[in-house]
Amino acid sequence: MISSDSIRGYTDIMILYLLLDAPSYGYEISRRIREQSKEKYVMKETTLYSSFTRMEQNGFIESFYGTETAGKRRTYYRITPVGRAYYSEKLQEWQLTKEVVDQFIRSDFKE
Amino acid sequence: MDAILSYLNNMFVNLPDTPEVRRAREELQQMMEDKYQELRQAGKTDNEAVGQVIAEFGNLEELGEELGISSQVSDAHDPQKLIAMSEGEVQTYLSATALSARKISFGVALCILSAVPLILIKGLQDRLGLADNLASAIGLGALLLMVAIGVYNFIVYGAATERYDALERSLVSITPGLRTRLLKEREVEHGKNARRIALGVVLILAGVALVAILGALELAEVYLILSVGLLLACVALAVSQFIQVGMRWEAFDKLLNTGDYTAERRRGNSQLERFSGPYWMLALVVYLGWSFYTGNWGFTWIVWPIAGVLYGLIGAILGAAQRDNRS
Repeated sequence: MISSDSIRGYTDIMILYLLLDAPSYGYEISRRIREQSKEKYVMKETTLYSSFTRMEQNGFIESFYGTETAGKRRTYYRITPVGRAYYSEKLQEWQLTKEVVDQFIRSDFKE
Repeated sequence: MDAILSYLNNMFVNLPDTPEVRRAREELQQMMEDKYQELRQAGKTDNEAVGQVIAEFGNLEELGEELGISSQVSDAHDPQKLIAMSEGEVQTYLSATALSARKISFGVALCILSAVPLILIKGLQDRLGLADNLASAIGLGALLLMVAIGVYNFIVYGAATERYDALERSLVSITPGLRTRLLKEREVEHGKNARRIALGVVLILAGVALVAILGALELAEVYLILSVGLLLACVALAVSQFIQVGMRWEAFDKLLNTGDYTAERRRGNSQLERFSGPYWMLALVVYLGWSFYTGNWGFTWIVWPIAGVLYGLIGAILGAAQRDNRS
């Protein structure tokens, strides 16, 4: 079980990763996060939407209306060039974070 | 599925009705519906699917910041500020407009009826044994008194709703729960209002028909005079119905941001309400000016039925023109 505090800084990276190759919509992104994380993390709908609006305001993603085969009108999101730059920035940040935190991990630790 | 919708409704019931909030609601609902459908297809029961969707929904407080910030951002870009109204304020506003509609329509009715005492007393002065001058004085006195009360009502009760002038240009924000109630209330009143308009039209037509028939029958003049009084009473009653229904409808439109008061239409357009006051004042000036200039009080009352019918026509044309402009 992942605490929402520790993953909060990385919800954007997960969503942007899924948008790198093709635009997608809310539930599809949510489902793919669950699959990609091997069912270890389920992103709450409100977390997802909060990230959408924040990233859209910052110009990292754009929304547009698309129609699925069922004929339902859905909001799709696509990544912008600014969003790609932000993603690459976040990757570097994550590398650094990982390196730093790794220094404090005692792999043979027993309680 | 219904359980999900009512859960979402409860979550949103106290949030203001802004574009940001509406969009958030739509998106969240879409995601929840998609998830529910997939869980059902994977073989979960309705209860299990609903339970999981709600458990994984999250917390609206997480969105509070985004929604709050985004509405402030859009306010900064948009001179059309939102006015948030509580349920109490909405009730006060509705009763204030209802009162001023009653008083203003009463004022208009008095102006329309102001000629009736004069016409009656001049027509009947011989039968009543009144001197010509005395009859004129009584008739004119009554006329001036009625007009004065009418004008007093226009001014005082026109100003009474002035503090709500901001609603002319700004959108109103009320909770979705209150909005649903107001929509229902308006729906209920709709039939009643349509009947009042129809009644008004029938009254005017009946009054005109009566005068025409009695005129054609060449009856004694006294019947003709009485029928003119009756016609003016019909017109007064009809016009006051038109005004009250129109003002009520506009109050609802303002609160619900519908009709002539949607976001686009609120940006500067000529409204019937703003046109009404000057219109009836002008009718009054024409009537009094013409009457005093020619002294032909037995005929100049014709201004009122014509003004009443024109008012309805112009209102309909204005409404149609506004609808055309936007479609």
